[in-house]
Amino acid sequence: MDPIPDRYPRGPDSKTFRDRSVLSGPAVDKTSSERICQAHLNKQFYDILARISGAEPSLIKPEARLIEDIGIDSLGFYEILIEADEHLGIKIREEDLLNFRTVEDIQTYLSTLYPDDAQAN
Amino acid sequence: MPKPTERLAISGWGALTPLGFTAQETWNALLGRQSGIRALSESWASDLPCRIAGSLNERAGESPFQSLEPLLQRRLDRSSQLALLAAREAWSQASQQLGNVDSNRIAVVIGTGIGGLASLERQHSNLLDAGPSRVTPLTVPMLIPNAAAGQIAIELGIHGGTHTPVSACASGAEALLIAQWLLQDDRADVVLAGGCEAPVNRLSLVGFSAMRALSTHNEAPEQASRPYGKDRDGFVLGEGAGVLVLQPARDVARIASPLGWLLACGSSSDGHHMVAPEPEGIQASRAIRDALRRAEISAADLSFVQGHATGTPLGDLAEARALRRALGPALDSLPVTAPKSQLGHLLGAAGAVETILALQALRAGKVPASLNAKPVDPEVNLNVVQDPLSLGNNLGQPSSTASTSERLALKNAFGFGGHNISLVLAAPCPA
Repeated sequence: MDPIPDRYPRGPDSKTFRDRSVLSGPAVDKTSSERICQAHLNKQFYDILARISGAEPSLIKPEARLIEDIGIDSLGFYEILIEADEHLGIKIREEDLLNFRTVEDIQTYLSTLYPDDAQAN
Repeated sequence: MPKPTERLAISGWGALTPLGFTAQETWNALLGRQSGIRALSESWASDLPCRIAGSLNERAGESPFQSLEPLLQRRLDRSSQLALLAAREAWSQASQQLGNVDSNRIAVVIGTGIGGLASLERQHSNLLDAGPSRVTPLTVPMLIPNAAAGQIAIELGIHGGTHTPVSACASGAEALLIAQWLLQDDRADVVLAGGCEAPVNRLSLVGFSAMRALSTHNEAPEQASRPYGKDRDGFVLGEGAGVLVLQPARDVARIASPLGWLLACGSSSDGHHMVAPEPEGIQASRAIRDALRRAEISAADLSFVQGHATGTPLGDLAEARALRRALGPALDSLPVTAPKSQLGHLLGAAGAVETILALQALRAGKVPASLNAKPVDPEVNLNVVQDPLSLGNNLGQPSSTASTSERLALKNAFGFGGHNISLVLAAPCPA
């Protein structure tokens, strides 16, 4: 079974997260989430990725590829949506989620949520 | 006349039960008259009519699930986790004897009565409490009844077929019947077969309680499961898994010392009622006779009977009548034992776990006591084992296929829906 859904953009022409045109801004449940600093947010996301994939926490680093290096499969990608919502109050749009290639992509994405904190760090 | 079946050698087994984390631990505890039934102290059980069950408890901080990789702990329902652990134990034991086997010629058959019920319950709660966005994408993979068989095939790289009988409390025994079909039909050389169940949760207890199937002897958990007892009032749910590794006698040359043998499986269906047994045991007796005929033995060849014996008023009586019909006067001198008195009812795992225990009894020459049956229901009229029984050198009167160097046992497994499975088992006599 192909672990990645066909709609996951793979080719060089597909729009990735780095192409900011695909983003119109993530939806953030600000009523339930407090102001979170970027470093803390990254750490929490690392924990989520390790939990979802079963990977050693040491493998979760910015350059790690979500599929090839960490082992996140199609179910894992959709688990990210729920975990981010449940534990961080962040509602990631599905079309954005499927553009994540690396851990750094997620960090970059998160930095758009809290740009002031990102600069502070 | 039923066609005689080729006997199957058993080269490995594994079990996790309320009595132990391995097959050997379970056997030792069974023989030692221990009980796996406990009071449920969890808050979710506080308002239930039945607040007792057989569950795998941590011991001194040790849990059998700790050996599972974190991802498998996250992605598998408890029932599948139990099956996977039992399969690892069984395969570890068998593979030492089997050597290299073509993965295209290995099959896996794991039955379950319900599947991932706890996962279903949890995600349904998520749906009601937090809405659709909080239902995990793991929901369906965790609740499907074939998840256990699928995961075992994934882990061991098995490509010879993966199957899941779902026949309620007969599922684990039916898995052995299907294993025999697969091997007899030359679809595989080796089959891992067994059953699993993890029903100790609120929805399950409520559901079984609503149909008045469960004992309500909450005040005395260890005495609550009373198969064949006059005061029995229902069964006690238990969780667990059992897996056996089987191969046909034609390949047995490569097995140095089989743990035991599955001689034959008999089967029938009540066609009577969804949950009530046919009261006279007519169809269940046909399954018993079918097994004996296919094994080419007579009732006098048997050393003991391990009953299905759940402890329900109707079920135990129907089984007793079935045994009387099938075995006739030979039943008078046959010891009958009921491991559910200590294990509880492991539903889809019961047939496989109890088969392992029956084989261990044959190997040891000791039949464990059937606890909590005093006084025995006079209507049952069986020779229920009250104290552990040594089989000595009494081998019955071996007929055509019964070797003088082995003992035989009959094992029954019946399920809601009217499924009747009977097995004839053999094991070498202790030296």
